[in-house]
Amino acid sequence: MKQLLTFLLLTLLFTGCGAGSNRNSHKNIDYRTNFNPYNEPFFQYQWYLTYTENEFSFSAAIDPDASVHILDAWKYTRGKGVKVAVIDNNFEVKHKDLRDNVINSYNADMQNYDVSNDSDESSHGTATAGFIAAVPNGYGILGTAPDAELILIEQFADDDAATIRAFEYAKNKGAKIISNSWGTGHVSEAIAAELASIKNQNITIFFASGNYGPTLTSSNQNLDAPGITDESELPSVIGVGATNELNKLASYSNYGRNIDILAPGGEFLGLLGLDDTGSAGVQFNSYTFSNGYTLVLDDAHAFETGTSFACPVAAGVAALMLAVNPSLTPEQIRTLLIQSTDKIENDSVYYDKNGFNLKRAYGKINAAKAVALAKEALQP
Amino acid sequence: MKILITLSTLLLSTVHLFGETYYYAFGQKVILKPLLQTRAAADQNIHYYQTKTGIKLGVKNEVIIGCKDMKQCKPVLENYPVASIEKLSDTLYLLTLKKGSDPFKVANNLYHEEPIFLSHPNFIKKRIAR
Repeated sequence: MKQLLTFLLLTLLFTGCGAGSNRNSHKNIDYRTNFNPYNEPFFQYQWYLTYTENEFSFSAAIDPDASVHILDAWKYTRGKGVKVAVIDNNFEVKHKDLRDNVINSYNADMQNYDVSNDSDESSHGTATAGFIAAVPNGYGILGTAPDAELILIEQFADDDAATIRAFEYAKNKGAKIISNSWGTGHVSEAIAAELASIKNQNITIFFASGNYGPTLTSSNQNLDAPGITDESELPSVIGVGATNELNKLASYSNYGRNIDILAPGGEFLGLLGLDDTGSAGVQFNSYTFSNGYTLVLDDAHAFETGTSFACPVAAGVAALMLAVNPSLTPEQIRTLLIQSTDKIENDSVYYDKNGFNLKRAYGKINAAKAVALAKEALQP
Repeated sequence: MKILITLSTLLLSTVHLFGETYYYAFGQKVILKPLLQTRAAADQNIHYYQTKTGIKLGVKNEVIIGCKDMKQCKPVLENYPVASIEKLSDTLYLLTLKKGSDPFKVANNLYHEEPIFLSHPNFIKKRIAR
């Protein structure tokens, strides 16, 4: 009898509670139809989407306004039907938090569909894609536009022709947004022509402004040099810098007259996303804060820092805008994103009469306001 | 004869090292500084150069051109050492040059041809994840 009782108790313990129960025991739930962001076990740590009052937020000293205020935007849409392409070095296409939103993957170097699924390689693209459209599935986190469709384009080759092929693939597969968390510090005329042509075909392009100068080590983070030296400065592109969890400019974020907006990229604490070492990379990512609080994640999720991750957050917000108003042009998206920004640190820094500050661009994006403006802009 | 060949080789190396290497972009002449050739790069037939801002660019025997109407560009290209043409987009084409051709010379001459709106080597540059 005692043994039977012990068995029953243990069974109840293993099936009914514990940290992993949310991820494994609700296999029949349709997480999209019954959408609740907190069904994702790590959503409460996604401070850049919305502030959640808990021990983690307190321990990390997260500013309640540091997020893009996503919940009010999700009342209108979660990005369904919008195709977003990501050009990056490598992807773990079958990552559980990505795979259901991936509609195409392509290798622009080999010009075939052999995109690596190796989870032990550096998968910068896995992380960037996750910030756009990590899937509602009760497993981990949510992307900014969790119902958007992903086109993942792998490019390792460094020549201009390969880059043009990557953009053409995105266009031909129907992408309305292309997110780029990379840069070269040298813009060829052919690349400028290609990006201008893509924009003219109503596709919105985002580029990260970069960290610590064009080569990741420069003391000069001001991109303003004679001519265009960085992809993020092109007029055909929306250039994205980064803010941190204190709702301030991230100190690594490159800036200049042609950078348009900021989005959260983290600094002392990164954005919780898909682990860029892949599911089989770092085991049980864990973080201990100065007050002793320790957060233990899993093998497939980690905190990531940089404009690389601010860029897809902004691209995801644009996907939400297009979902409520598919007629928006890239120029309208840029204008509405700028009109709806929050001016960070405006009690201590000066924004000019156009609302621009050299280091902080036009301010930090606000998803709730941007989507509301996009909806208002619908033609009657 | 042997001395003549050695002298010619030295002379060519000097021209390569100290001659002005440039291309055209956005209506401007852009001067590049040649970098010393490594064995690995030589094996792949890539030459490396540096921009004024310190960015390293690789060049092989390929040129990208912009052409709105290939019917007009094709006769022009027949006068150049072009081995093959790949269409990259509606208006951009990748030219692979015949062995031994100078991609800068070809690109710079093509830049001045009427139906071609841009022309430069297919630059290889480090893409940095951010």
